[in-house]
Amino acid sequence: MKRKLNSLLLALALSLSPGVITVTTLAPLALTQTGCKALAPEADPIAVRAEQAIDSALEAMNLYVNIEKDNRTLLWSKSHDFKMVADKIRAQGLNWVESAENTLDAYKASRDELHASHLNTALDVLKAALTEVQQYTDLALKTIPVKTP
Amino acid sequence: MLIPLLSFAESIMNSIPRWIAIFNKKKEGTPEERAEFRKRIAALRKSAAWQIEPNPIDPDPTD
Repeated sequence: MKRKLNSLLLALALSLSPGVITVTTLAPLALTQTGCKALAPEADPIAVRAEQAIDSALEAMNLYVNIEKDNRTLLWSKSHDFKMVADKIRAQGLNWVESAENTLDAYKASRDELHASHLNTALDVLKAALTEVQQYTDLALKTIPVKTP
Repeated sequence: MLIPLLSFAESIMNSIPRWIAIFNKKKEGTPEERAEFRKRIAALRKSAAWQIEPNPIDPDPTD
């Protein structure tokens, strides 16, 4: 049933016009779906949710830097912030993801509260970056003209 | 006008399988899966979209 619901939500997102499918369309989907998704009985929720957060952050950042590169001239003409944010992600984003992944590895090796706390700190950095990326992805998609047939 | 639209669609479509995998995650990734994830990070570091390039030149306002 949940799988059907996932497919339905995804199909709904895809049926919208391309200008409306954004990372912010997908991210709430991710939050609602991962939030409700039952974990395997033996799964460690901290590790699984951390992996989901790290993977989502990488996808969202990768999507944004691709959109910015593919539409650079237009976006630059509207606001230099699009490239500034993208370049900040290019300079630091993969380091943040890798750092979170290292912290996750350390947590998996110990499974204690101290390392869980370190992991939370690393995820907070990713969440902050994700918020900015989502905001600018939305703005970029609103800026780029969509020709309706 | 249509080219940016197509590149959007392509970027989004390319990422969909990964989003689905993220949504459906029920347990921790295996060490092999996480090693693949690290390989992907390394590949992205070298990819064109992740390179910092010079800023475009602003048009001369007097033109």
